[in-house]
Amino acid sequence: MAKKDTIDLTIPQAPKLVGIDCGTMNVVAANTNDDGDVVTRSIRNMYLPLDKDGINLTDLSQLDYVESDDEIFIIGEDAFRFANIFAKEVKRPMQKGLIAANNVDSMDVLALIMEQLIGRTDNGICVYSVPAPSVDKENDILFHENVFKRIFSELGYKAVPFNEAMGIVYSECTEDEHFTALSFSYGAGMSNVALSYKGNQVLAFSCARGGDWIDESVARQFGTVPNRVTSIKENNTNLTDYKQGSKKERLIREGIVYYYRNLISYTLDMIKTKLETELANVDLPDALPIIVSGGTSKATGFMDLFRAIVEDYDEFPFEIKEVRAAQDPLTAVAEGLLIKAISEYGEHNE
Amino acid sequence: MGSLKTREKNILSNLNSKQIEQETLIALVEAVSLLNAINDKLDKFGGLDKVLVKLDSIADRPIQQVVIPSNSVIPTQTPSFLKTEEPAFIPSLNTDDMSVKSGSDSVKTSSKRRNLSGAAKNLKNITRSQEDG
Repeated sequence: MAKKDTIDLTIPQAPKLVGIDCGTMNVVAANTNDDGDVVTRSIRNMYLPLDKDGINLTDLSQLDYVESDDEIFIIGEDAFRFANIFAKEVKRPMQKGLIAANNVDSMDVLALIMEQLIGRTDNGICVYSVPAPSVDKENDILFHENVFKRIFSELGYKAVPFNEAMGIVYSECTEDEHFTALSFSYGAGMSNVALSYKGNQVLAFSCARGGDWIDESVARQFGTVPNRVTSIKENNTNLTDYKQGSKKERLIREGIVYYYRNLISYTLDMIKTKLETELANVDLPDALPIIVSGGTSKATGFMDLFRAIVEDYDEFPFEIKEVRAAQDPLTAVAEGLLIKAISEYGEHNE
Repeated sequence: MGSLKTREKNILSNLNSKQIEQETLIALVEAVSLLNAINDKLDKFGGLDKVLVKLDSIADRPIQQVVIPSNSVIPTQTPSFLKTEEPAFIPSLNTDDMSVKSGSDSVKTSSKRRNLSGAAKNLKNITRSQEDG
């Protein structure tokens, strides 16, 4: 007779551990399943409000949506598709990497998106990403951090905020690198940079330039809407060869390359200046790997462009051991934060 | 045993009768004065025990709304030990009558084999070795 699985209620049950990358464009959660595999779940961080009066709910049976007294909110990828079909503008609970507090529905929808992503529990711990303070924009990270803490707490998790770019180091460093690296996270709303020495954050900052900034800047130059630039950017744009498509598209692609180049130079200039000023008297390791991640870094040719720009620097404050991309730029932060959660609260924390 | 104020008078009287440095005496008087102020404040809320029970009951759940009785004295400055890094105001969530109706799967799921426990153990070890060293 097969032995029945039993649960001894006198033994404290292990908490559900989750790492969450709270991104402007995508929210990604990582946890492990019973087989020890890493499971990642992601959803577009956006919604489309529709007037309830003009909608037959059976028409929405194939979609994910939220119903309130007066409105319907289509969420996630469906919101993106519907907005494009009906020429409407999606709403985003986050802008420039932070909670957009100017919309009364945003936080409620965000909470429901999070519930859809990680579910409710009575014994969970989630380590979630927060950006570093910005070097070029006054941003309220405190508000952002606490809103997420409230959302996760209401879903039953102990919420632990942690730096986004450090998550990349935890996820991507090899064993012999001992969590010592310089990481770049190029997101939609902002870019984050962190220098880690043996798992400790030595330096971290963010800047208010990312994929959205590229789209908006190029759109302004060509008198078009950012969505149009996003579409061209995501379809067959190679950052090392922009001469493709119609004449107008070639021009827009050329603009996209210029702004990508500027984004990369801007973040490299920032870290160089900070290392030379703030850490001038600190002994850095002889050689450091640079790890690049984030949705904006997924563009074709991004890593070639990044390496070419790095090579243009006559002198960098440290020897660059290697420049490499994260294995999966969309999930690296969430996986790194899960590693942090397991190391702090998991089975090894006896 | 007498009230705190009576005891304060007795103690200060005894201290005065001894040879004690003026600075120390001033510091002690200030400390007693602070204790008196705290005692008065606790009395307004029914004593220390009641305050602790109340704090304990709200400590593990978010505070939705703070109601300040109209007749209470609002301190002009928050004591430093009560200051936190919390922002002044976070709007409360209003999702009780809302839920996600799931018709498609907006959530993309993927899984892969990866030894996260090994990385977590390395991270724990490297952090621990630095704490020890």
